[in-house]
Amino acid sequence: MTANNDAILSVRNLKTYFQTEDGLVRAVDGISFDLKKGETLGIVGESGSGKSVTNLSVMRLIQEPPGKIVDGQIEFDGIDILKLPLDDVRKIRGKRIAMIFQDPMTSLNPFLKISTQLMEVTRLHLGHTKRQAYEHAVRMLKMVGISDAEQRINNYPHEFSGGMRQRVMIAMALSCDPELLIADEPTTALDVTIQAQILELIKDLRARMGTSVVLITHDLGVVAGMTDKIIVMYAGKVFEQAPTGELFAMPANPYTIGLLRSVPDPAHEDGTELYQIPGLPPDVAHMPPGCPFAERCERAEDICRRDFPPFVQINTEHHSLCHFALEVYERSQKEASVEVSG
Amino acid sequence: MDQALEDIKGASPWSDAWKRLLKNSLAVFGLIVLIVMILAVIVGPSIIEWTTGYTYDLVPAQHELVKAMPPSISHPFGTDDLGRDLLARVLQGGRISLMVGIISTFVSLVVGVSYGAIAGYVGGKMDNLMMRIVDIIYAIPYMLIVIVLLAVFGGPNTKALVTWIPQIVAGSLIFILGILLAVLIYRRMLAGFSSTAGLATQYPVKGLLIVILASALLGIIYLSSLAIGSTSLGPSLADWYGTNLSQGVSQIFLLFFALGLVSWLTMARVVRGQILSLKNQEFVIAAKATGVSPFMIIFRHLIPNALGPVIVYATLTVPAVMLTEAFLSYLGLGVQAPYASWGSLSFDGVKNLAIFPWQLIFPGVTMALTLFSLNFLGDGIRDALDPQTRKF
Repeated sequence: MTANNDAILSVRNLKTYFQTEDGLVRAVDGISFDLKKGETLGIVGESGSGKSVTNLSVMRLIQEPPGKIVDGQIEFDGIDILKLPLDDVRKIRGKRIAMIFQDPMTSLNPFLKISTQLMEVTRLHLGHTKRQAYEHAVRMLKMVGISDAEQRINNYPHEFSGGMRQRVMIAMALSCDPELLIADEPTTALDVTIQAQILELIKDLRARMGTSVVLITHDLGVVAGMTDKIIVMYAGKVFEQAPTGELFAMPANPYTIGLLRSVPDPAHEDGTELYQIPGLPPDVAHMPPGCPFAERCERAEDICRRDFPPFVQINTEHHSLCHFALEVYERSQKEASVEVSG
Repeated sequence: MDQALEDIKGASPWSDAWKRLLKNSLAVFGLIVLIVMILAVIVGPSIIEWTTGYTYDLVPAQHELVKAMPPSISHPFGTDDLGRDLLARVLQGGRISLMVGIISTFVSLVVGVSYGAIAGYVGGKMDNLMMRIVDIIYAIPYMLIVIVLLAVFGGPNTKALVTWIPQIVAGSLIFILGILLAVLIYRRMLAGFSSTAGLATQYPVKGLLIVILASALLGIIYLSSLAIGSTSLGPSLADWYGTNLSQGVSQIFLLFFALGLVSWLTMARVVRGQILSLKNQEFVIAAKATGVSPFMIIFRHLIPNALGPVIVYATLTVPAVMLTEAFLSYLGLGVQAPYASWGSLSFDGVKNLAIFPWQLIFPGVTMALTLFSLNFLGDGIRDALDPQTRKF
């Protein structure tokens, strides 16, 4: 048992590397975070920043080779997942930790009726008989808002729309009443109105079932309304970690500021071009010696290109990976107070 | 209302493909010919025997010098050298030819699909090893294997082989169990090494118990098989074989076995390729993430998705195997008289081609028609399942 008794998931110094032809890719490089029971954690970052790999590591779903969890500790409810035999990990997957994937079009098996796929989970983990599993599946479908659940359960995935499929995925994920739900970009492949519905559904179900949620996304708008805490990832590292309100109001990392500025904001529309962070994310196989963001950073100085930045603690819950974290934090604090007073 | 319910009833990807197949007239033609052929082959010989009394091995007591008669009302396909009704023989031959084709293909399906799927899913070194074994078997000329098999175990030698069946079965059982045991111990060791708790503390009783039980089981099976096999079971099996099965029949089973043995190789490759491209799809990761075991992932999630090319390949394997059987029978290694297959009938017909052409024409045309139908059907299924036209 660690000090965080109320933490459902506690990740310490996780390192997941991939051996590629291009060299060693440090997809996740020393990540730590805690998730308390009932809380929602948002993980934000560009493509390739290691968001998904982090969560696949939590599930021990990293394909080995080429991937390998080289170091770290993942504690789920006091169980060290990385030291568990695979057979026991399988008993946790789907039952205590469930996952929703990005693309509902491909995450359901096209050749199986959705009843088969829904029943598989509960028969496996809850020891349901066929009859019980079927009834449970119908109940779950109704809960996620699929009308005609009794009939629709006998359909094949291609007979559902994208949003409906994501609902089915959520039903599947929640059918064993998991303690932790990992949603890996659950709305990326859906259009905006459906996005809102799905997010509302996840929010609603979380409140009803008391599930802790890890929400991975690259859409800051999505995390703003849903999460208690946010982690901003870049190039396999945590760049900033803060409670949601504080991160949006007073970001302490130039990268977070860049991300926030590049969100389209209808209120400030005045014909100017939308801001975008210049350049591309670095090649993680050939990382520069200094700060991985230095090449793209407006605030960068010589020290950024030379030395790796420290992980600065700003207050108890706010950390930022930057040489000038405190400076940036003070400036955004000032801007925030100006905005409030003005 | 009924219509609405009808629509809501799930339309599987298979039923879509079936609809597309029915639009392909050539494939439908092939399907109908095949169904008719199979029915004819199953019930035909009995009908002929019932109506006319002719069977495939009935040699009529005739006094003419030339017993081969051209097609007539009483013998629609004519008769062969010995005066046997050719229609009855062609239908009986069709039984064996189709059976050889279907059973060998089935064997190759079961073995090839499981083997290829496991190799593809497990991947890495295991995959490499398994596919190299396939390569090695591939490299041996398969006709040679079949000929050697038939020559060594065919004919009178089959009886000696039967005596050894109990030992062979027990031996292979022990082999498989031994491998399973080794894998089990290996995995427990891995689990032990990767955890700080270690093997001994993690599975103190369970692991040890399994090992002891398994070894005890192995010993019992082996000893009892030796005792039973050499004293009673083997010889009595051989006796039963000698009295109940004629040599011709055993030769046919040997033929199934030999053809099945070589035809699974390509199937394994086809399936492995499919599985490799499927196993990183998101629905497989999703299944893993819900805690489904590797076995269930392979057999419930992966194989149905890989089945399209497998079915196509299987329908094309049937005619290939039938041709091989015809070739072997032609060499005199296949079906033994008085049984016939389309291949052996054609062989007999070729000898008399100049005088009694119907002896070649009828079995030849029947066989050609069946092979054409199978190929048309195979092509049709391939088109119906083609991913280009497939819309999910």
